[in-house]
Amino acid sequence: VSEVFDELESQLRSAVRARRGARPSWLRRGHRRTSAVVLVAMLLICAGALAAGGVIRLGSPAKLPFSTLGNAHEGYGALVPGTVRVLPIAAPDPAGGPDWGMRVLSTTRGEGCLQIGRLLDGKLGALGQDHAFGNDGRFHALPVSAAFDSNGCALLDGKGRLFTNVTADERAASAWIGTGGRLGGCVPATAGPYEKGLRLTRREKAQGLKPFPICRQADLRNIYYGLLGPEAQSITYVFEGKRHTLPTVGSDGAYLFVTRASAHQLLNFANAGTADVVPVDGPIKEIHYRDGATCHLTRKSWIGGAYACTPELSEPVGYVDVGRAPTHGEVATPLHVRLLQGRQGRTVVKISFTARVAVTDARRIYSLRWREPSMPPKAYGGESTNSDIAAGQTVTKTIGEYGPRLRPGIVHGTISLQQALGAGGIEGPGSVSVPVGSFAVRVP
Amino acid sequence: MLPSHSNDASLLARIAAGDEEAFSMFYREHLDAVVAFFQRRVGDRELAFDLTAETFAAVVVGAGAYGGDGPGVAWLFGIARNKLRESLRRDRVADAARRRLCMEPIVLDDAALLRVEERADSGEGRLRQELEGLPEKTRAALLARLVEEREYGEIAARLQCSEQVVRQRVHRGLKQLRANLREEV
Repeated sequence: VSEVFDELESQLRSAVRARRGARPSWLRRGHRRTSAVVLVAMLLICAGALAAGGVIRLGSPAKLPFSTLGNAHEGYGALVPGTVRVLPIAAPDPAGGPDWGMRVLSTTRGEGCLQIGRLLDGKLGALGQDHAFGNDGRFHALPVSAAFDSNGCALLDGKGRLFTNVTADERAASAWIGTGGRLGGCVPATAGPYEKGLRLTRREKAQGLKPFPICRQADLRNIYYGLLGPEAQSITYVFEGKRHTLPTVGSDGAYLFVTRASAHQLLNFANAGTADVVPVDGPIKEIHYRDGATCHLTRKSWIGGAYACTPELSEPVGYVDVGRAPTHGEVATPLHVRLLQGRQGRTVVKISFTARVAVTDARRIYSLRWREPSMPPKAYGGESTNSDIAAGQTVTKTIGEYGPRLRPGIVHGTISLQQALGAGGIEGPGSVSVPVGSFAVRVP
Repeated sequence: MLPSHSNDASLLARIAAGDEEAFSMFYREHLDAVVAFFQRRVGDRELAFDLTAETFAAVVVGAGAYGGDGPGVAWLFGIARNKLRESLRRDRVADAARRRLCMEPIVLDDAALLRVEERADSGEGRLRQELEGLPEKTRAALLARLVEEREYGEIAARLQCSEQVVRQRVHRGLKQLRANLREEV
């Protein structure tokens, strides 16, 4: 008997064997009536084991017409070859079919990224349903580029490990995160008009683009996933009033669970989900650690650091800080400020300086902050670099080139070098800001 | 090694008792014929495999319900016909039996689909070869009943004999076919 039939035979033999020990007493006694309760329980126990129809055909891998994670020196950087790991974790989908899985990878700019998808034969993919892939019902492998979701990316710690927690609201059960285009997809009803494709430009309309299909509510999922580090043992979450404790998997402290999305949930697609060093704004209430400590997530968890847990814990437990911040003396440099005439008669402030400290990954940025005369108290404008910068390289930033025109008066500003040392990212707890220089310029 | 004297009724009783060896014997003996049955009717290898898998899963689930009143193979093809009818009505292959057994999805690539075709050809070829060896009248009755699935009354009218005679020819033909196939095994 040939392979595919061998596999079928093998599975059925296992089923025969499993039924030998598990047959309920009412059946052993010879009664043939099926208990509805037992049937429902059996269906629940193995829900998710089988796709609708029971057979999954392979489709072509999803290929995007553009590249993500392709630029080694900008943004999230490029994929470091050999770093992609499919984690040994699988979560059932509420409607069955292939489980959900997760993989982790590293980038050239010191980021780690988590990617999720449906799991088949150890590969992540998306299903041809929910208007994706022509609803062909097939499994389409997801290359790293096609599964990229910036919410899943965070800076690696000092040991090259990723600590991040993601709440992805109202995702299509297909696991395909695109919409429109050749590969299709759908958007939730809560999406904004731009996400729904309702604000198409004339050119886009001329190209034949149409508003995107709206996902059926029953096909939307909330997906909670993350890596809590080697010290985490389990999480406790509350869903539909019931507490569930889920052990973490492997030395990454990985967890993943999927629920149906409610039409009335507070957080939805329009809020674009959340990602942080601890799980926030979701159903996860506790993190249990191997030493017996428990982090009860507080309402202020989104701030991170000392606010994340009750009782206070170093969050995330096990995170190793990275590097050291340079001193003011090491980064200070003169700023050159000029007024220019921009497009449509705009006044533009151009600030340039010679970087003394290099930026070699996403842990550092040069940041510009300024205040204009008309701004309300405590408000400021902000800009930053998003790529690698060599020591000695000239950095240039402008104010007033886009958006509202600069109002007459004095514009005050500072350039600083920001560096993430801890788990809070470039602007969260553990980040330091070292002044490079400041300026004031009168706008006529 | 396949059994020289497999008895479907006894195999089904053993399957119901959790005997996986019995299942393998039953599965291997009837697999080609079941695949051929579906391939001939749906003309799609993927669907044929899907229906075959669901049919044998239903055998595992329902082996305890087989009463031994008729031939085991007739019971098997009764399941197959029901699965086919149900799928045509719902426009999708039911998977209730496989879900009950918590079976994993099976990936069908091009090579796997080729295997399905080979199994179907093998089932068809073997049946056709055996049919060739039967007397003309018996073969005609069997083809009309099993392949074309016509009613006994209709076959009787076509063959210009009584329903009772058609039933006898089908019964004899099946008996002869079974004996020949077992001998070959």
